Amino acid sequence: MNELLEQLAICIERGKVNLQSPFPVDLKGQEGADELTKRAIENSIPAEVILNESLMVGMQKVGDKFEEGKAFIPDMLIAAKAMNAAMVHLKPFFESGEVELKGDFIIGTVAGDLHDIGKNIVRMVLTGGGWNVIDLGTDVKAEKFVATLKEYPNAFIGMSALLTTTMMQMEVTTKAIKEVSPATKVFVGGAPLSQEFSDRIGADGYFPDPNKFVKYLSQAI
Amino acid sequence: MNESNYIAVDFGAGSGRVILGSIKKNKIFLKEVHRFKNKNIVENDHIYWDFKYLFEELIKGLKKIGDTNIQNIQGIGIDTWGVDYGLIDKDGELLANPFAYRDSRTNGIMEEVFNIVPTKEIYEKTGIQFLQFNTLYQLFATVKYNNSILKNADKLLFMPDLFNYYLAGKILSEYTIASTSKMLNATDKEWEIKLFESLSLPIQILPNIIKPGKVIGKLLPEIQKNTKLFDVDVIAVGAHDTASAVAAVPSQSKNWAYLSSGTWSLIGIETQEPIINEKSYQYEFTNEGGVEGTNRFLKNTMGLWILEQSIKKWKEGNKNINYDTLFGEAQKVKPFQFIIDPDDSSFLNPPDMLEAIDNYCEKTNQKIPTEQGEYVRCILESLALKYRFTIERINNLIPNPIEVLHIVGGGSQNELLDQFTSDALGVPVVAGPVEATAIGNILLQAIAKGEIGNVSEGRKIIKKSFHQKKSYLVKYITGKELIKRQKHFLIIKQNNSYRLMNKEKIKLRIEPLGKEVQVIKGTPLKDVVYQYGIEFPCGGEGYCGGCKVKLLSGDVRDPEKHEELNYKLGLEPEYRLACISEVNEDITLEIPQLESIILADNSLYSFTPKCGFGIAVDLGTTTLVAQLVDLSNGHVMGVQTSRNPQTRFGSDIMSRVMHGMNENGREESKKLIREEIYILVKKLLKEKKIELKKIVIVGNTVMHHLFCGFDVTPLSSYPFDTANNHSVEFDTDRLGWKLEENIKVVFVKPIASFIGSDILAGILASEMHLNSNLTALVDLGTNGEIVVGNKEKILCASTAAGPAFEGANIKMGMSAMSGAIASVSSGNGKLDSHVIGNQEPMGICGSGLIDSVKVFIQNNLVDIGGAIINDKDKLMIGGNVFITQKDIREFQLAKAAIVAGMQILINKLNRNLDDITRVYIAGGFGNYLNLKNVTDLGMLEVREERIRKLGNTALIGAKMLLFYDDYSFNNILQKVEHVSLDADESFQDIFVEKMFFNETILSISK
Repeated sequence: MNELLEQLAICIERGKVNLQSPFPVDLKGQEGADELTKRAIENSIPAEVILNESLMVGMQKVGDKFEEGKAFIPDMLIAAKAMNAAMVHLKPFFESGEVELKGDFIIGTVAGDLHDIGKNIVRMVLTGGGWNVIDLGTDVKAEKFVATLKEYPNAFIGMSALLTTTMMQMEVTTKAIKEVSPATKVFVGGAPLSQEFSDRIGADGYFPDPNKFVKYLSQAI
Repeated sequence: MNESNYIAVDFGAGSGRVILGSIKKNKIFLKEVHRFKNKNIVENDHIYWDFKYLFEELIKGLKKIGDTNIQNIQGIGIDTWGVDYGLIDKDGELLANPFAYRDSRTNGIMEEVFNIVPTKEIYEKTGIQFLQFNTLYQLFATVKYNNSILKNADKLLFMPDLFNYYLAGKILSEYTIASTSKMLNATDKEWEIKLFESLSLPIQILPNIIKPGKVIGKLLPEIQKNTKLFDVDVIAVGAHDTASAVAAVPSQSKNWAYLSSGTWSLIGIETQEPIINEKSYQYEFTNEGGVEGTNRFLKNTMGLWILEQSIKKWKEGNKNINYDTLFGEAQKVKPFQFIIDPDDSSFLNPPDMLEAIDNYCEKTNQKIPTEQGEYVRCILESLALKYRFTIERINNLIPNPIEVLHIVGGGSQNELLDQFTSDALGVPVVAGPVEATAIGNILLQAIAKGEIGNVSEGRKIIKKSFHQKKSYLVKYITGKELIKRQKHFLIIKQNNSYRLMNKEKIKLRIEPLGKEVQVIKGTPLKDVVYQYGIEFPCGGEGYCGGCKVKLLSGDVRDPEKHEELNYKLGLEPEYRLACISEVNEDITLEIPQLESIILADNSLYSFTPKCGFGIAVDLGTTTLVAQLVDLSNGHVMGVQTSRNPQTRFGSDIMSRVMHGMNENGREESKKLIREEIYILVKKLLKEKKIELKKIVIVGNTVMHHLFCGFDVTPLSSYPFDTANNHSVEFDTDRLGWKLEENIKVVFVKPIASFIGSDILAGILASEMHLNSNLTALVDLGTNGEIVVGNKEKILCASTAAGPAFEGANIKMGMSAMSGAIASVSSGNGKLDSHVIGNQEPMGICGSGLIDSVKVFIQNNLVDIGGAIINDKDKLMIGGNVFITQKDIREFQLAKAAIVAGMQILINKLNRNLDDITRVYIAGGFGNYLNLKNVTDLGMLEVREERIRKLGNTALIGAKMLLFYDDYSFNNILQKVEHVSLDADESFQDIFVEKMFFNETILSISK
């Protein structure tokens, strides 16, 4: 594999945003996701290759560590930030259709819930995984999910809730979605949830960490 | 000329008098010509003297004399109380009414002065003890709060100087009054210029000093015309009233002491030079200027106030008081049955003095007086013993012991006290004259006019002129009995001192709570007392004295160390600093903070005393605290705590909401919490016959709703809108509490849906709503609340910062209780940790987590990104306790949430973090918190010296709320706005950025 892409993957995994960022300590003074992505494009590496062979690899690695309990929310957040820095440069290629994405994914926190850190991590992992993510933000009502689904009829839907009190909203939202489009897959996530809960409300799956979820999705299509 | 006349004007804080003194055939005669009231005026929350009124009364008195045909009036002399002053401008106009010493602008000022000039240095120069109303502090406060008036000021004149100036037009400062200011050098008797320079006080406003016994000048022409007093000299007398009184002591021997006896007792000696040394400092003696170049070495202690207040109480009960009978009965009472320490703070201003005496006797395992005679005996004997205590301390400081005590002033007429004092001291007591102040005033005038040669000659004349009664020792008091009784003032013997079977355990009794706890020998006192709300403002360094406790019996380890510190801090020898004490034997402690916790912080705040008692309740998600407060003085009379019984439905707040979302759960939660609070209230009231007026409860919005029985469903999800954000008043009946009907129970309203009255109380406690500078309040409870604001606007937000600091989500985390590692430091490459309760560590609490992260980073075991170096999975701290990579990450999340929250609030206010001049950390969490580590780690991005630990602000605020009548808070609430951090777009960016540590931490000293 291209050394540049390898280096970029490490930057994503370890959350090295750009030249200035002082973290991780051992990468101090080196170029980060921002510079390396720019250089990869200048070196005419196709955007799809950058995405698949570098960004996804980096995201996968930190995701694996998260799954193993060796990386934590802050690691995910800083990796996501590095990912963001890389995506800025790749965005034009997605928009022009040059890069073929795996599909559409609608995401948001449920009505009444404002906690979006988990949702944002999932969004970045999905983006890095080659999905077109439509982020509806926080406190998203069932109608909003349904309306967005009309625009992206083949989309998958994911929603999160952090409060025991708001997770009940997931049932309402799932029902509303299934009512208009029974075939649409609805996934749920969030600290107080479980697979049993997902089954009970008629959702299509619960995933405790983003990595497992992305792997699952890739196989699903 | 066979008769000459002098006018003595004596201003007191309560009244003033104009007295005509005549010297005829080598004797002095007095006649009161005019008497008037003096009282404070209050304007804009400040307390002043009404100078114009006082001067008018003075003129009225002079006119009365001018209207008679008394001839040969030689002089006028003015004396007043000490320390207060007025400022005049260049045109000689008084700029404003003089502040009264009781004005609260000097609250907290002493500490600020001590930060610039150490206490000991000030004492060494001025010889004056530390009272917050010393002129020095008043002036420093004026510079601080009201510089403009000082800019316009040309000269400072003390009260008597001001009257002299209005009478004679001369700007001069009389020496004895100036000596009370703490601005005069006690040895060279000149202004202490260096002190002024160090404190940046204006030197040019100090007038020249005039010694007592000198003529100032003639009355101004317009005053001569107005009063018809012509050719009368205004004369500098001992312008401080006590200086005049001491001048009039008719002493004939060498080794005498004086007691100026009234509501207060001023007890001391006349010396040629000031006595300034370690002991005098420790014993709290002060050096004020006397007449004829002498020094007044004295101490201010309690006087007849206790008796006056007791008699007042009997009179209220419509009992006829016949003084002869009263004292006659007292004489018959068996001696030493009831002994109190008259200087105990419980006698300062109790609603019922008799009850205060009862309580004191009960507390100290003595019989309780019942008859009037018994009370009188108790009071007078105790005063006499206290006089002995003070005289013994004087004897410790001088070569020859005191041989006679002269009692002057109104109190000298109390013959029984005179006799008891003589008995206690073992020396004769000479009582009289009663009018010592006026006589001394006249004496100095006569010296100035050359009619009397000197003070010694004057004292002979006084002795001849006025009645004195001499009391001799009556042997009803044996030496052994005396020593036994006297010890009472140092140590109250513990009656019950049974030893525990297990030698390793010792017993600790805490007064005034009456709590007894068993602890392991060697336990730091800090670990025990912090549970009772004691704060350690300097973080356990032993330099602030904020955690002082009073030893009633027993002692802690290494008392020498404490004595040294007590001296430095100006504390009585019986105090110990809890933060550096270890318990080694059974001890009984009195925790003064429990009585004054309402004033525990330095910030200014006032309450209007009311009658009766109140109970303040902090209803926390996890813990309940209730305190019984005496509304007449703000003292805490008792504390009760318990666990919130709703914790059985889950420890976090959302689980309580869940439980309360259906009718049954709501009913159950309501019933449980109401019952629990009622239990606390009953415990507080147990066996106390007091009039409970009010119970004020504060708590978060969920607690508010569950207590009141409101539906919590709206609080279950965004936007958390609830219609029930109001203060709710209950009848005790409605709550099912068997208490008096007229007791008002109020649950104070939340600020907003997710910001409860606990935070409203915190705002009140921090007083940010009154301050023009920005103040921040950070409450690291289960929810981390952040409030930033000033009197214009207050923003608040809640973050998910709290749980990590309470031990949640931390592998070996626990709350700050026995067995928790509470602090960690490193030296010589090894870790040092402190475990609460001095036992094997079981886990780590928030402050320990913070310390260990700092220590590990500085020792290169964790990098500044928060990663454990070399991929280790855990880092050992002490015993079997360790922290993991995840723990550090949890800490980073919590820290980032606080910093980002604070940043967003400050951005919304369009200000900078540096504009926040004070950050208060609320919650018991603060006790062990190392503020340097907090700032080094970037948990708070403000300068360390701006951070203060404020303790349980919800409870402090709840106590303040006891004094409120209106619970609508419209004024405050219109300033307050809740900011939802999750809804803020910049939050996540700032949050991620702030998860990491600053490189500078590596170069900071460990």
